[in-house]
Amino acid sequence: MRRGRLLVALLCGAAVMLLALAGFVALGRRDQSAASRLIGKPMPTLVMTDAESGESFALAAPGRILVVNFWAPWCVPCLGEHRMLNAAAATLDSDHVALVGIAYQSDQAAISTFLNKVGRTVRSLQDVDGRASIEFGVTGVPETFVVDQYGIVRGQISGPISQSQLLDLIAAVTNTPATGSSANVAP
Amino acid sequence: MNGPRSVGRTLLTTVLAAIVLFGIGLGIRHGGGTDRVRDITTRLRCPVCQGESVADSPSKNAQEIAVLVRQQVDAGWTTPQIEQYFVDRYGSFILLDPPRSGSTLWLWIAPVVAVTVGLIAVISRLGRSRRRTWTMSSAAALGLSSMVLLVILGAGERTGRAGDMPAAPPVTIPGATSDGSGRDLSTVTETEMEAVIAKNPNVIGMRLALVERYLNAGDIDAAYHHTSVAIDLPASDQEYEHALRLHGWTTALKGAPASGAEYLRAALTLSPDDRDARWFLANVEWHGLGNAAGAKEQLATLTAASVGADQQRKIDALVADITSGTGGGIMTATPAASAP
Repeated sequence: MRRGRLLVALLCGAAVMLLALAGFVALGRRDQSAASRLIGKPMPTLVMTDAESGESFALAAPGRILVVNFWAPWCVPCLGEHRMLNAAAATLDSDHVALVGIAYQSDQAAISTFLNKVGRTVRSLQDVDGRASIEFGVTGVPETFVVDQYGIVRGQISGPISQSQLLDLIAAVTNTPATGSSANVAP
Repeated sequence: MNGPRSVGRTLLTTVLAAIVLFGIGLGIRHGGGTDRVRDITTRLRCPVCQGESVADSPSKNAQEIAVLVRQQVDAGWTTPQIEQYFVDRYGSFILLDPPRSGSTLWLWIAPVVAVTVGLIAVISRLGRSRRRTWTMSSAAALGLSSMVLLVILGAGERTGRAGDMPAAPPVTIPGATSDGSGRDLSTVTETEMEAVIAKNPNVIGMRLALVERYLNAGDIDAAYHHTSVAIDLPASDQEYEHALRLHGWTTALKGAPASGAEYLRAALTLSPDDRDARWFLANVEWHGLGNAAGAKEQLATLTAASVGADQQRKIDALVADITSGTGGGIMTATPAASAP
């Protein structure tokens, strides 16, 4: 009788441990998938303001490849990355690729100080109410999205992007045929 | 022993338990609280925080999300619609509670199973009686109805599984870095250089050359003073990358290795084949941060860049230090004069 109870207890313990293991596996998978929800979906369409002039700017599919880079003046890795993006923008065919920077959680003075350091070849927009970063699901800066000429988000890099990564992504998007997807709807 | 009254009680208990649990579940699912915004933001994870809810985080990002949730509630969105909006953008990561569906359903069922099994195990040790039979039946019914309820609630939820991140290509850009100043300053003293810089504060090349002299002489404070100025000066990309590299190194030497490593990574983003920056970063990773894996990764990249025999010896010496655990977390200025 005791042996039977011991066996039942062991089986119960093993079952609980298996369940716990399944939980850890499930949670692990969930955390790994924390990014890239926008991949394959239309980019969010937003009306934003130029970070320095205050002009309105429609952030929308421009009929060419669009690189959207989120940065902030207090972000140290953004310093080198933005310099690289400015240099890349100067060499890329502007009829084929457009680069846009979005300043995340920054005031105009800090944005201008940052741009004085790194240059202004890439157009900078200000995320005044944080809506752009929410629409893109940004979890930190720098973060970069590559959108194809049809407005579908094709690539995302969290952390500083290198020039080779940028060029590879642009080349990959250039060579990828378009596919349809459901639309993003904002309230 | 199991008369009609006992069966009736068991059935009644099962029905009552199911009704109560279903009511609780509906409350959770539809946010029956008086403040729906608070209720929803308590269950949303602040994307830029460490395990904090949007409601509890003081960060600007959390406040912006809370404002948006308020707008969505005012516009008549239901709680599931609002949660789905954020899941569509951030993935199921944004929900502090795992979805009651798919592979995470087990996280909800496991405690119910464990409690039910535990109750049955405890009760089975009691003597045989009508009360024991009744209690065991109730425990089993309660557990079963809880699991059924969880499955029903989870059936309406999405799996919330995001696609895979695109694989990052290796970072390798051919070519070599140079100082960019183009000056022969070997015959000029530090005092003379300071005088020139005082008269021409925007001359970045000479300032960086002076920083290297100070570093070689071990005068970290003087070097740090000039790198702090240099990173804010107008500069070419090469000069700017050089300034980031030296500022990263001096910042680490001044006792802030994490910040120094960030500047060095910024320099490497601008110029991935800058061996000096990578060598500095390897030293900061090991001597400053005690991060053996991070240091080895940088050294492996350096080795792959086919360095000379002398340079490889320096790399091998640092690898040996890391392997033997020598000097981890102890920052010294020594490697400054011997970057491969």
